[in-house]
Amino acid sequence: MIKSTKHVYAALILFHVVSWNAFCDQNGFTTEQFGFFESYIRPILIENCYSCHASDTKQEGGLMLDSRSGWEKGGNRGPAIIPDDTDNSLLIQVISYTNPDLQMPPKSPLPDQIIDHFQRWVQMGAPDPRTEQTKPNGISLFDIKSRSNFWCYESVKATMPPEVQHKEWVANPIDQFILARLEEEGLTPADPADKRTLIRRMTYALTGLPPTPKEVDTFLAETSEDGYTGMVNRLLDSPHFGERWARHWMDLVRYAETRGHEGDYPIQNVWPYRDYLIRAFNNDIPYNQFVREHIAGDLLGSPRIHPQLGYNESVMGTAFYHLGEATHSPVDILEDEAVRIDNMIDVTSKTFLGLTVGCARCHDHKFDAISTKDYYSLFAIMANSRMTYASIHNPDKIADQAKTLRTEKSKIRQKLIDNWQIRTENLGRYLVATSRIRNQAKELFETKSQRHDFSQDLVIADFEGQDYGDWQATGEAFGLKPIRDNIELQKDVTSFKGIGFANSFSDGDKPQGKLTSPEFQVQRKFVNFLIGGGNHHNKTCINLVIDDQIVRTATGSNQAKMAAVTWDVSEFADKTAWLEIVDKHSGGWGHISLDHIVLTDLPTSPEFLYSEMAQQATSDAPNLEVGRLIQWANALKGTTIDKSEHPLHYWLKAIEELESKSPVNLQMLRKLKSDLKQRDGIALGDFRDGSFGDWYLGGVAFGQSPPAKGDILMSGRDRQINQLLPSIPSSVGATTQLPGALRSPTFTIEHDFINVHTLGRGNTIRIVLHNLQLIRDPIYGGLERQINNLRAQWQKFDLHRWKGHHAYIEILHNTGLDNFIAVDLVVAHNGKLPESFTIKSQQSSEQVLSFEELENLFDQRILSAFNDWQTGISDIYQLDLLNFLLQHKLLANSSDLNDSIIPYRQLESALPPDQRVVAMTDGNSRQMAVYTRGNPRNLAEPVSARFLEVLAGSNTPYQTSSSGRLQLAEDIINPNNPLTSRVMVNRVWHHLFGRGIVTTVDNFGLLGDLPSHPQLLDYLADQFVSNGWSVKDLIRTIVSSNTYRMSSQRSPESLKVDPDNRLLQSMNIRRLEAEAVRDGMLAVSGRLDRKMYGQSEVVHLTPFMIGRGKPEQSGPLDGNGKRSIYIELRRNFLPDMMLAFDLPIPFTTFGRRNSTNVPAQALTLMNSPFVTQQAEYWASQLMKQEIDSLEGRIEWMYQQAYSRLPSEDEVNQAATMLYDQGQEYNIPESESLHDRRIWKDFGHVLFNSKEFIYIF
Amino acid sequence: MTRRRMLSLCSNGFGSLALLGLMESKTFGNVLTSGRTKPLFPRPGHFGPRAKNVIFLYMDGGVSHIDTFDPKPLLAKENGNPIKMKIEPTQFNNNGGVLKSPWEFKRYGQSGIEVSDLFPHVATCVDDLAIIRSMVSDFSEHTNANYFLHTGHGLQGRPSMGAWVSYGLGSENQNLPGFVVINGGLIPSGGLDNFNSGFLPAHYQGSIFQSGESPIANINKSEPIPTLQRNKLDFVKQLDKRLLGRVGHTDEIESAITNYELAYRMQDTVPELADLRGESRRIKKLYGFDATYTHTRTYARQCLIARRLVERGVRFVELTCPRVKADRWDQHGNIRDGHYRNSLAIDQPIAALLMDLKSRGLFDETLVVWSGEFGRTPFSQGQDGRDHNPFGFSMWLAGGGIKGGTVYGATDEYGYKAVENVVTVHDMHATILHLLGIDHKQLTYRFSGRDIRLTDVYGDVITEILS
Repeated sequence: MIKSTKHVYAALILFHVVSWNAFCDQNGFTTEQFGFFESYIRPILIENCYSCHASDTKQEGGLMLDSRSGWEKGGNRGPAIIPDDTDNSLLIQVISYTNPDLQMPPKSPLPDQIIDHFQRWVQMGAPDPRTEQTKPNGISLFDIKSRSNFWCYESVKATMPPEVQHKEWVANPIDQFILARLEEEGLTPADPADKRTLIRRMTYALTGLPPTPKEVDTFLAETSEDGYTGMVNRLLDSPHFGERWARHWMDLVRYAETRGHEGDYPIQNVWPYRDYLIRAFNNDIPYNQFVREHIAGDLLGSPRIHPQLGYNESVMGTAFYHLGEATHSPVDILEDEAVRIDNMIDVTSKTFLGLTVGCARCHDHKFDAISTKDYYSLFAIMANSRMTYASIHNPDKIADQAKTLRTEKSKIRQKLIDNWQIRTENLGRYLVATSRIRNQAKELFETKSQRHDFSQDLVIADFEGQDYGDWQATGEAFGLKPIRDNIELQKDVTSFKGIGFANSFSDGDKPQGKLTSPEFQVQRKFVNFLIGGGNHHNKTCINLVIDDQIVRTATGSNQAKMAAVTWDVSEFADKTAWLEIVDKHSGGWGHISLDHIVLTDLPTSPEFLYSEMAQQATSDAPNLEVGRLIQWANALKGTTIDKSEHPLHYWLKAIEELESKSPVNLQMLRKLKSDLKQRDGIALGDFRDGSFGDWYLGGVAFGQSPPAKGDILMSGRDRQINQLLPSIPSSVGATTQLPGALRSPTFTIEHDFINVHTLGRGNTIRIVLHNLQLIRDPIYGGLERQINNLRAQWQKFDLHRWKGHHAYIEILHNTGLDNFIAVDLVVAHNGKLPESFTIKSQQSSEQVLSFEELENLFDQRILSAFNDWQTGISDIYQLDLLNFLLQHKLLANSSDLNDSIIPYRQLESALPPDQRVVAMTDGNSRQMAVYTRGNPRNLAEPVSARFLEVLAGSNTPYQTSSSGRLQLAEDIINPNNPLTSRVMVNRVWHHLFGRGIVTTVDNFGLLGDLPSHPQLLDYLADQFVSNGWSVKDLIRTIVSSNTYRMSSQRSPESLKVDPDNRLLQSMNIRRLEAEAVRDGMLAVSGRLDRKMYGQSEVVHLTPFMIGRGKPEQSGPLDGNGKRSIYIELRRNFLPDMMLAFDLPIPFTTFGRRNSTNVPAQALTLMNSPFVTQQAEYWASQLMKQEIDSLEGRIEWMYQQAYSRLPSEDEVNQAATMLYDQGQEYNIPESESLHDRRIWKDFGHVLFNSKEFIYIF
Repeated sequence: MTRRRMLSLCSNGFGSLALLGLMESKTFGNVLTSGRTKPLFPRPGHFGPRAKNVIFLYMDGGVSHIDTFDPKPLLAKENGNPIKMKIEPTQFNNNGGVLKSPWEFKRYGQSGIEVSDLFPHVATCVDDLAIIRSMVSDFSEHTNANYFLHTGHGLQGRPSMGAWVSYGLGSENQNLPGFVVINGGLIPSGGLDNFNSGFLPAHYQGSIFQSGESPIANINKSEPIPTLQRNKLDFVKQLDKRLLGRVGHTDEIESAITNYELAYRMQDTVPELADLRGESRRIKKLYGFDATYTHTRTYARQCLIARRLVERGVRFVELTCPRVKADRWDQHGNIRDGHYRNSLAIDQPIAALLMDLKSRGLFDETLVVWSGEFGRTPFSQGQDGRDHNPFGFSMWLAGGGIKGGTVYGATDEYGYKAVENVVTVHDMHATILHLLGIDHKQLTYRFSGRDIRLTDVYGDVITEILS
């Protein structure tokens, strides 16, 4: 039975395929059987037999085994093989070594397994497609000429629809193709489906939702053909059309929003791609444009800009490349790259071409006309492309905005310069006066400390008791009592006083809580305490509260060791206050420790005495303003002032020395501009000469060329100028709010280290090895660094483990109020930075005789630093000095410039939000090599980017200096490429009929199925291209056919002749996809929120969705009523219900979903909280209806669920069921109309009937 | 009987299973089930099976073989010295000197096989075990290695061995799934896809049983009273019958209806399975239900449920590890503490499982397999940990068709790399399938343009460990 069915297929198919010889001259062999020959027999023959038994070799014994006719004829001993007869096949005897006279191969027998294969092959009837001696040299199995002679590679032929007998059945040419075949087999098409069935079938097919009862009524009322056309048009115009067809597409590109693997890390910004798909299908973007955007949307000269939203739609298409899984720590990064790219090639070739090119990774394709060289040519294209997070906005518009901002900013800069040129005097005087205040305060502090009577201090808490005493603890974090002796937990806490302290690490960082003190009077000038733990403002802190206001607050500094803190509370003298120690943070450093809180008149450092001293100093020197002096004194608070890095260090030292003796030598530092010579290191990037060289610019942040002058950084919400930048390329020429990246060409790592000379804040430098984007510990963490140094420094990356590997350097501007990055040199070296790249400091010293002289000298220094910055020749010491003054508001700064800043701020606020999409960008073209047997360490011949030879008709590489994706896109959509159009029309057919004309929708190759209606396929493909690749037109044509409108009633004849209904005698019955089942329930229950687009809804986690990388929060059970396409898809946490209903696991292209029957489906519909919740919701909607008969209510629900009315019997049965449930619930009959419980049960039942989840 | 002979006895052309596979994949998406209307019905294998069921004790994280079943005296001798071998790249590349095992090895049983003090209970069963000391894996990170161990392929998306087995053989219990994973708390790296059916139809995917009262999703009736559900389902049945009357004979709808009946029955059989009140106190004590260590109690429950599952004819049962304080067997640091805790959780329950299977006569028809995804390095990571080692590790098998008291293969003197009778994961899969009566080369499924097997294009049956 089984076999005969197969023969029927073969016969049906063979009749129509005339172009493929192998099927012509053989009878009844299947693709699988030829496949067996290709896999197991042909290679063995070549390897073991051809050297003696081939037409171009010795032909020993007259036997040739390189063609079918060769063994049929046989050699001197007669035929070598008798099909179906292993016992009498000489070849089998000979290789089995059972024939004592003749044993082959002569030296040793073949392995048993191979002999088995030969026996099975002969038992099959020895299928052998070799018609002639196709292998002249007997070496390569791969012959592109003979292989390209297969139907799918032949050009699309515009065929005339065939003649049919029953012309009256024909609504459009599709029907002719279908009917002609049916008539040939003596079959009659099924009757048209009734209108309710039709509208339900079509609404689900086109929008993934059920029709509303009103839509059904409207359609029923229309009696003319226009009614049908109207419905089709309405559905094609529905915004839900895009949601439905985008979801189909997402199956092809293995859409998911996380990387799977161990951590299931998110892929950032995937959802804009989903929205792009929805818009593309809704707007009927021509399919060739859609494909072009997928392959090379980032490279198009004029990208497609959304007319209303202003998005760069084209770049979004390229997101699809990056939706695969990925690991963060591959031990073998070469293999990892090969695997990632393999997935890209696999998905790209299946999705657009319906070819399994991935099979050619290790060897020439076993069956199709695809060689390893083809594979590695595509590999080169992918390897020379890079992942990026591209802005989704119109690039031209952004560039214009950046330009305007740049102009506006340069005006501000000029104002600043003008302002300063007249305001740099007198700085020296304040410097000297401040220095003296500092010294006096220090002396006073020492005296005070010596004389202080500690018994007068008021201890608020020392945490030495057995419990918290009159402090009140809430929450879990602080436990019931202070830590004692530090024996429990938190063993690393040090510097506390006594043996006890308060600590919120009772059970790690997670618990939260609060300790509240009793009230006290502020009877001293200062509060002193010891604090350690997390640095989370407002979250791990101690607060002083007066009149219900937090007036002082402090946090730890992410250190276990406690530090002393003083609050000056003199302004609150005698007020009532209380303290709270807060832990509201659960992540890292989510705890706090506190000890020894006292009210005292002795602060912990002299700095608290500065303001007192400043008052005193101005009374001695009336030309000093007390406000400025205090500002200066505050600016000098802190400890780093004693270190030589502090910009004022040498000045303060000189002042100190001047006080004791005169004259003194003032040391001065100056950076030398070094000249550049290559020694044992090389410059990978040198932007000091005003050019980015061969580096790639992404976005607009870095401008077009490095600046020649010192720049300003506009930061903070109020866009103040707090930072001057040197004249090196930075990401903030226009604003910090626009994204951008600077990327090196891909290079081979030849040195141990890479140093980047850089400064910045909140920005990132990455070394991208073999396109590994998930850069993380334990192995790769060192290759990505956040830059947070405001003074130019060398950032050193250790690459010694990856010598010989390929990498590129990526300097990323992450937008933010204060973020920036500046870089001028990138150097590769072997440990010691070559002298030519070291940026040397020169020390000079100048004699200073008096304070007055020093004051003048300081003023001059500032002025010259300022002039040098303007012209672009300042060094880091000069900039440090200026920035110090600027940041402490000691110079007239931007607060004076608000008039100029306001228009700039307005322009900035008109910028679009920084929205990105994961996308592609190009790198430099590099030749790759064939990996022998897929092993990246075993390189064979070099290959360059090009298209598949069988489709391109040649193997000439692309002429390109970049990846070649743009050329690839054009090749794929070239109308001469027979696959792209065929594959797409077949996919559309598949979704409309439940089965493609080629059933293996992702594989048109030799192991795929042959088309059931090859001419129809070509007719549709041809029409598709000539109608401008319009998917909507294609769908319109198909659904307008009578073929589509048939009922699903099979005729007995057809069941007999064509059991699988390949000839489409009737419509196929199909189960709804997972999403349609869920969306259908939401639509029926009234819960559906039709809001489109945007960030995905957080997935609801059931107790069965478990494992590493589990999200902290679970989303709502009903996904906020959103359609399934908007629910987040996390690879390792795919929703149970979707999986039960065959959502494909997103690892490769799934053009054809499984449709299984598993108990999990029944259990879901019977017991899942989501389903019962929807039934409940539905019932509550019913309660709002003004329907006061049982029958009316039943009808109302029936219409919604099934788009039809119940029969009388059904009403009766439903009433019985409702009655039975009412009995169980003890509901009096009079109440049954209004008791929600029984109606919920009724709705639940309707969801469970097969009619709800099947389409007919 | 030789393999060739067996094959010739098999159906002509392709093996019967492969043919089924082809038939199934020749059918089309929406009628996948019509090729096999009862996909979980038991089917014969290629030849007589030695075991009917498998219990796979998966040791998540990579157990150190040199601290458990592969004694290496040289480690103590050279403790702290640099290892005299080339070190391959490791996950953390924080490699120290040779690290001796903190545990002693003693000889047990008639076979006198050495087992470390980590497994005093399992050691008493050593005469039932065939220990392979020469396992290798292709991957040194968890996720790839887990996928590889479970599916024979290092990436996401392939069917797990349990799925292959239930695809090949069906299930003997029509009220329970054919492949069950009893979760102790730790889902392996790579997530639930380690147990998935990949491209095989969803019937074959692993059902995850939680240890609580409702072991699988949506198994608890949503109605408070059984009659309420029964009434509903009766009405559903009427609706469906009426539908069939309208649309005529339709395979997929008919089997969807049958499916409801299975689901309905599972609502009773699954909770019954998890209800251990009928088990005697003696048995519970044997497994470790009254152990002081809480995770021993967890694993004891898992092992007992595993026995109950194979008793009921479930084809493939996999156990994941309990979540002990020190995480999975993945001790990059402080191996002494972490391995101790992990072994303490599982040692007694595993020994009990082996004994209990024996006393019930189930041992000969059940194959028990114990393995991690790789082993650990003989040199230290940091002070006191061990890094991943795919170049040599140990696993063991026991039960149906296994020659107990056997040691097969060996690593080098350090235990770093397998050097004698190297066994690959594909070999292990081939052997498991063989014991179940399946020729691993003939169990295929057509996907993505080729016939795919669990063992890819590799794998040899390890006949030396078979009885």
